[in-house]
Amino acid sequence: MWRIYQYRMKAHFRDWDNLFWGMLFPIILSTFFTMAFSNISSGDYFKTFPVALVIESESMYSDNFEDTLSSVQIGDSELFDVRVFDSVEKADGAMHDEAVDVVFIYGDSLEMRVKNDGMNQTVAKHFADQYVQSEAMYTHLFETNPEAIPTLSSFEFDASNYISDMNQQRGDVDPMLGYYYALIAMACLFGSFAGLKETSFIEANQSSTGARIQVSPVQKSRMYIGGLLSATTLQVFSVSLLLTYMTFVLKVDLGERFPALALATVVGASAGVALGAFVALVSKKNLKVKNAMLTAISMALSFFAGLMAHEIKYLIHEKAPIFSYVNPANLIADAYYALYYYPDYHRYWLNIAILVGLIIVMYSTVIIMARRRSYESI
Amino acid sequence: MIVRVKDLVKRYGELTALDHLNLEIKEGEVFGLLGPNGSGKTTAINCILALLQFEKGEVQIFDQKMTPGSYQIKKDIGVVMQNVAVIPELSVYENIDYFCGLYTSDRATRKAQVEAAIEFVGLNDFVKFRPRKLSGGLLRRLNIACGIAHKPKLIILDEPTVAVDPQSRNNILEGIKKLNKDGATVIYTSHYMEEVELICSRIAIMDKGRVVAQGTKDELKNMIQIGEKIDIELLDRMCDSFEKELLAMPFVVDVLCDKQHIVIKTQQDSNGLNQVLNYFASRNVALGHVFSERPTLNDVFLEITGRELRDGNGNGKVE
Amino acid sequence: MRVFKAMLKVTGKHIVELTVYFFVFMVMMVYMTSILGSVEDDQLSSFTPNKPNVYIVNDDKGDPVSDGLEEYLSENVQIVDIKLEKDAIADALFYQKIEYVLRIPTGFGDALLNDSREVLLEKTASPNMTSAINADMLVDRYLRTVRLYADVELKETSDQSVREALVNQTRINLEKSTPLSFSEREKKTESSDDRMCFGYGYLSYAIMSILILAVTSVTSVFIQSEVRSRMRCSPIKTGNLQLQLFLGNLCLAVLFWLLLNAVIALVFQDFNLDSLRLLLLLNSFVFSLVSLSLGFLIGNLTASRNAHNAIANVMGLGLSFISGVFVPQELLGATVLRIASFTPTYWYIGAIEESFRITSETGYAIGKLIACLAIQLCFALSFLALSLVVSMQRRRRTLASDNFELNEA
Repeated sequence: MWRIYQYRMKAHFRDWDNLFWGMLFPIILSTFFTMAFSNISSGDYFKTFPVALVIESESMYSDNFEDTLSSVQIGDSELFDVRVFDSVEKADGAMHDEAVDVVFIYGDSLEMRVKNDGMNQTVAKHFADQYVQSEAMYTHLFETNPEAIPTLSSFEFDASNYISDMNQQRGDVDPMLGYYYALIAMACLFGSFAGLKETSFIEANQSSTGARIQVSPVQKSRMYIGGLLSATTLQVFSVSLLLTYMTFVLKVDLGERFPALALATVVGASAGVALGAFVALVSKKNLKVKNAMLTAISMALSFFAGLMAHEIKYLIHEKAPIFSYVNPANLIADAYYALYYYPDYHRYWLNIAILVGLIIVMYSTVIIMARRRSYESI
Repeated sequence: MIVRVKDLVKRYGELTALDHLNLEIKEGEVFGLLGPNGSGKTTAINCILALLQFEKGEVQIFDQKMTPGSYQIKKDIGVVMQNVAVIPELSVYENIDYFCGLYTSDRATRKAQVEAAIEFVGLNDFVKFRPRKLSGGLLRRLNIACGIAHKPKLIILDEPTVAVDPQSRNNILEGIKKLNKDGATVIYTSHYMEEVELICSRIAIMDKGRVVAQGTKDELKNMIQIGEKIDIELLDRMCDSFEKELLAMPFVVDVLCDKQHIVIKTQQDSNGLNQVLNYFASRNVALGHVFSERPTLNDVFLEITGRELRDGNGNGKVE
Repeated sequence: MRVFKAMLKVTGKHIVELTVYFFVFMVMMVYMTSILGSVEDDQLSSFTPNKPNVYIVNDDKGDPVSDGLEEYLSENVQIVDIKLEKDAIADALFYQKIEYVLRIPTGFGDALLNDSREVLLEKTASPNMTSAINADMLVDRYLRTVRLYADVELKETSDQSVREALVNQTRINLEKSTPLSFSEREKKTESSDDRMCFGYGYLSYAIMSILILAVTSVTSVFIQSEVRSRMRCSPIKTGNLQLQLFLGNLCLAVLFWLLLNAVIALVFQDFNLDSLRLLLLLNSFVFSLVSLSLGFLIGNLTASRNAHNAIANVMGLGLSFISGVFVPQELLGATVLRIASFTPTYWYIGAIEESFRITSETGYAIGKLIACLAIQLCFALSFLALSLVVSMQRRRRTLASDNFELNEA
């Protein structure tokens, strides 16, 4: 069996095309992910953006507004790049040409004009509302209670004195991690192709080598164990490579519980290989169709684990919890997620246990289907 | 008895591929399974090897029932399939070692066996090559080496010479003879009757899933009417004028006529050649080329089934 | 047209495989656009921060200050009012279904007014999220205003009615907001428009993945070495041969294009062929051509099915991510967009946006749209030219090579 395993490993590592692409493409994809999320994950939402200011009647209040507007800081820079216009038409024109995102008009009171809604517009609206409210409050207090001005000017307030942050989960919550988890899950499921290859190699009705193996005195179970073990090794290696790349090159923080991460990787990769063997034996179609089915299955399962939009994982979990518990991609992604996010191991073990259960079910089917089998036709 | 097949029936849907097939193969034989494409040779082989399920009948190898789990029996069988079955990623040596290793687990023994097999098929110069670098003939040889390296008692070769150049073919046929001399019983399927005639000690002719005739090649040839085929070239006359008279002669079975070329098939033990030559001499016909031969297995097949053994050409493959 | 005909026949033989591909990407597309779109009706994806989703637990009911906070928040955020378990809350936070959890403990109102810091609000939020920052701001504003009024106007606050007045005052103040007007169009983008925009964006993912997988699968039959050499021996010129293969694939592309568009129309229950729809159809057709030529190029480059799978994924998924199919372009960094602009998907998305602008805004020039389409066509042509070069350059592989592919067994 060891020898079968060795030779299969040799064969895998010489199949350069498959090896290269199998390992490279999740790495390329994760790089694309990082590119796409670079802005979102860094929390770098607020960038200085251009706003127009039109002052219709100059006053102490309007001066105050202009000062405040240009002094709002975000990080180390100003939030607003203020451009003053002398008429609303001109400011509108600038907005039409997308030279500014928002127009502030300070007449009797503050007004705002936008072309469409968007993030910068939302931020500007927040700022304006807050400004109007403070202005109103101070005016009101000033009028009703002039003697309170000293209190007013010495008033200091820090909301954090009244709030305690209950974040008890590990790490900063970066929802973009959900995409990476789904990607890891997909990389695991792509092990199904290796599983399919091994099975086809052994089964006489799927390849000519299979016929040769079938007439040899080696027990089929040993062929299967050697072959599938080699496929699993390959896949574990491939996924580990991806994880290493993600951790050290892309600096994705997957948490620090290495033994548990490693276990999740091994179980995940095994599930992928098992899926391949399962489909190979259950389906009666030819190899091309099986390949297509595996592509489709792994893409679809990864999709429901949140590969294209991470909310989908949550939606499925809410709307169809049973499906989310039998979807291996979701279980794999969830195991990594649980490791990162939850302080205890409860949920992690639940995922791993179900995955192991699925693997057992799939391999039991494989055993039943493959056992002492003669074929209808070859 | 090495192999005994009793009343084997195998159907693919409507088609009956094997129709109560019976075979008995004795130790030390080179047993030929001859038949046109689609006659059920490969199906028979696959059933014997328990690769295929069959509806009825029984297969015994080494006097034991053959099942998919008969690993003890499989140990002593070597199979060379019709399709090239090797692992593309592994080298010639590694391929043979891999497949031999399925039978022989002892490392030293295996090494000797693999080297012997390489020597045997003459791939010494190519041990490091990957299969895709080999030409068709060399590839076939590798395919054979993978099947016989473990020195099996029973070797089954399913059309091993299909699409092989004459040199490789001779090499392969010589090899089979040698394997047989070293003590292996051989089952050999082919639709090339020349090959079968050349190496097989006993032959079964198959058609439509059943054995239509069985015996040594001489026994087979004696089964039919024709004893001799006489091929004559007429130098100055067209042959159709003689056709009727010749056919009317009691020892003549059949006459084929093509302009100045005539083929006369005569009965067994009829001394036909003499009589035919006398006939032409008595009519002052100048003869050019005269050629006489014993009937071929094709004639046997033709007479039994009314069809040619090869469907039109002898190079066709694909079964 | 022999090759062309053979090509169609081969395609017919692959029907199961092609159906599988079509079906899975279609299901994903339908799910993405319909279910996901309708769940979040006010925003297409969670990236645009509008009202944050807040989960409030008020254990200090009856106290005007605490109740006021709850009411104030409910008016300004999206309140999630389902009972949730602890783990469920944590999950919801991670997936941004809830962005902010606030528990008001018993006695908080008293504590705030007396400036005692023994009873604190308990919040759980993702620190990096804008929406959480919004919620923070709201809470901050409320607490600040209450404290300010309390400091200035009322020294004695233990009386319930006094508190109510205080909270009232605060609420009145906080209700003030800046009047907002739209400069060009009064209507906001309708959510069905947004969904359609997203749906057609997603279409690019489906088209590219399906076509690469399908085209490579069918083409590889003709590219594998024996058939290739055999055809090379025939009197058909390589160029002509490639053209016929391409035409065969084109039929495939048109078929998928029609089917996918039909699916989209079904999803949106909208069968009008208005100018917007025609533009979108045209755009997706051009993109089909791009994907087709790309698939053709890949098919010419390698026969390995794993490679095809991998490339289809990298191209389909990867380009979708950096070009703004799954993540809106406005959230992508400038560098990423610059890189993306070297890919066809970027221009496909650009063309969708232009199409919506042209049909919804007045006086919009068509130039940009034409540019987007033309650039896509250039991609298609260069892929095609490249595949021709590749097929001419490619050395004949050793005869036996493909005999062994297990696939052909």
